[in-house]
Amino acid sequence: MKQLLSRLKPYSIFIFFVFMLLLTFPQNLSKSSESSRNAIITTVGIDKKEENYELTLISFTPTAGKEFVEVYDLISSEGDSISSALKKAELNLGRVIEFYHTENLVIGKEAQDDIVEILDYFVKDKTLAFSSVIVGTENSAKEFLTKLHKQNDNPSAIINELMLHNSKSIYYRKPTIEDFFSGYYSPLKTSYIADLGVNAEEEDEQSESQSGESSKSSRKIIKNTGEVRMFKDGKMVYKLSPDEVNGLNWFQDSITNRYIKVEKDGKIKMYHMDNKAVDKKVEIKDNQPIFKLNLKIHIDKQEIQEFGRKHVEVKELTNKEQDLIKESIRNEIKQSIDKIIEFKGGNQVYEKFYREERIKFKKFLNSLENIDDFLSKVIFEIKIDLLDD
Amino acid sequence: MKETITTRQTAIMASILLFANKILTLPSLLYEYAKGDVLLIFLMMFAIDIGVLFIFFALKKKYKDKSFFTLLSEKLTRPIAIIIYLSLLVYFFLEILVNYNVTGIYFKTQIYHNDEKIIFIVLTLAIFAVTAAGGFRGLGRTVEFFYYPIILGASICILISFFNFREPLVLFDSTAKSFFIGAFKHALTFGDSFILFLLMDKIQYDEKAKKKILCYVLITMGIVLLIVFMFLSIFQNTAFLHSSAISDIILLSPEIFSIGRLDIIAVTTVMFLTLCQISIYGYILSDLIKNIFPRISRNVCIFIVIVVFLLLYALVFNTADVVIDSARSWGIYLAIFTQYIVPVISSFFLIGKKKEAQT
Repeated sequence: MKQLLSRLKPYSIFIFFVFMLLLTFPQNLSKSSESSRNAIITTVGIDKKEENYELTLISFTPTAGKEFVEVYDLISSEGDSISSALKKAELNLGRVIEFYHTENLVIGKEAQDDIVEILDYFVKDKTLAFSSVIVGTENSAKEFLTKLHKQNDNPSAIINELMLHNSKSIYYRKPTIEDFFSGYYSPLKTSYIADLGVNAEEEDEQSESQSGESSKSSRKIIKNTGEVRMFKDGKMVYKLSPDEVNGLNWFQDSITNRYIKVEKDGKIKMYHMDNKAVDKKVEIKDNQPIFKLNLKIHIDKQEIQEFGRKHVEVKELTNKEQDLIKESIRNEIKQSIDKIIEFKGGNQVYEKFYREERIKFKKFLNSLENIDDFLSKVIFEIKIDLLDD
Repeated sequence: MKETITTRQTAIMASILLFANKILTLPSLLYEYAKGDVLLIFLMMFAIDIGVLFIFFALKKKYKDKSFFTLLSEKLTRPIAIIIYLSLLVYFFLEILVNYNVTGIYFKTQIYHNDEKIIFIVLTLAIFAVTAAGGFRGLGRTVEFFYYPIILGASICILISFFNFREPLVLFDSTAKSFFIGAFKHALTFGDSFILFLLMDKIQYDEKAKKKILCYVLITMGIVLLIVFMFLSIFQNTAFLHSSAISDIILLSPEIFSIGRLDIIAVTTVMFLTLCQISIYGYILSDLIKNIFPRISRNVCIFIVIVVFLLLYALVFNTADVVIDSARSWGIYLAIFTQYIVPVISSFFLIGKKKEAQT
């Protein structure tokens, strides 16, 4: 025996390898395939009906075949908690629900007040990726996802495409779970999520012409509202309108392309901004916080008079026109800030002061009764330079 | 003939252990105490580690071929040396259990979504047994082989994480009390330089050794600090929610997430690291037993380590919470004694020589 063992010793690694194969191979060969045991969820919808939660899940089923066909199923279940609704969905499906490939989370209107608990559950218990995008909707998440699913398209891809576009033109970055928690755990406890709606008219048109070309209009089923839902301490407090979102975007370097609307004597003029540079500085003088915003806006001299009808190229902006544009921008910023003050937000401004003037800012905060009111005490000095070609 | 490893292998071994338990859960756990100052805790503890390393250099220069156990026996008597080695034995069992549990959770989240404890434990013990039985030279060559893939993997993770970078972290944001409590409570995860003391008789030490070891150690410390810096800068308020620093820093971006399993780079790096770390800890544990009970053969020592590990795991430390709680309670005192007090005691052995020379 001893002789045998000493002969085998040089091959110990090989023997161990064979042993591991013997240990794991039969066990794994006897198992059914992963796809028949687990349901891969790409999009999750959550609604609240009185005291019950309703889960709507879109699952992806990989199918073997010559052509690559993506099959998406819609599953819905209800329970007095998310976990019980999930359990029911698993029972109905006959598969274990996995969230490793979930990219989007759609939260219906009623469930939005429980958003922290919902996200907490999915992130901690179900290891949902922090990079998943959260979308809020005025409708129910079930209705939203059902209509999306009817298009026989990949729903998460549709949402992703929209979010990618919006992250460059509306939100300055994708509204992910990480972003939400980052705001929620900040001193002001303010966070934002994206808003999408369902376009009922387009859906009707779609159903009428279902026999024909469906792909072109399939994207229109979702209404890109351009709105943003604002949460304070985990509760939805306000829905920022597209104009208010635009007003806040003057603070963002990344959003550089947009139209500026100027109204005078009942006439609407649109100027196209094709670039901008943002310089933000903060200082505290005599316990008074001052936020200096210096905007260098590049107008590409395109003026559209009476929008949609006339298209006129202008060589140079007159002083009067420049003043009107500046005034319009200032008004937009003011209206947006007023709303943020009203609902006690302002994370980015708070952070900027905290980073750059920490000692003075802490002193200033100590002089306040409630730090949530800090934004109302800040003076915004806005300097705008309009640049020509 | 005594089995020895080259200076380069020694430097690599010291570097690989610097990663141990630091690039997964630690930044997140420390954030609760020190916020952005976690980076300063790392800097402070690394500075202490370098100090310990210098004690080792001086000791090795003076007692070239002596083992640490012999040195302790000669200077402090054999019973005291045995007591110190017994406490080291407990310390390294706790260290290996922390490592096993933290990486176990990581691999479960990333690869084995279903609870595959048996596979993980069999693999761990097999790696340990094979490398420990293979001898110290084999271990030296193994860590040497994996070093560059580890450094490459960690560097790629740092590089990708720059895409997620937003704003640098805010420093000096915690109180001195919470800062030092944080450092104190997680002392067990630092102090890795001490391991070289236990291997001092098995290391080839030439003139360039000091420079070489320091160079490797500083490079590794730089990489660890960069991972921690990126982690804290990316997550800031939510750092405490993320428990796998090296993976999380590359997975945040939705665009990167859509590429697919990009975290495979981080997973592979951690896999190589775990393999090396468990092998080193395993070898050291068997070596400690061999020193305490010199008549027992190496294979029996390995068997004892495996049995004790299994018993400890099955009966006491079967959940990560128990292990981490132990590391953050009584484990702290054990860690401070072994990592810092024992090297300081050893530094007194240096004074002795001068006196001897004078006499």
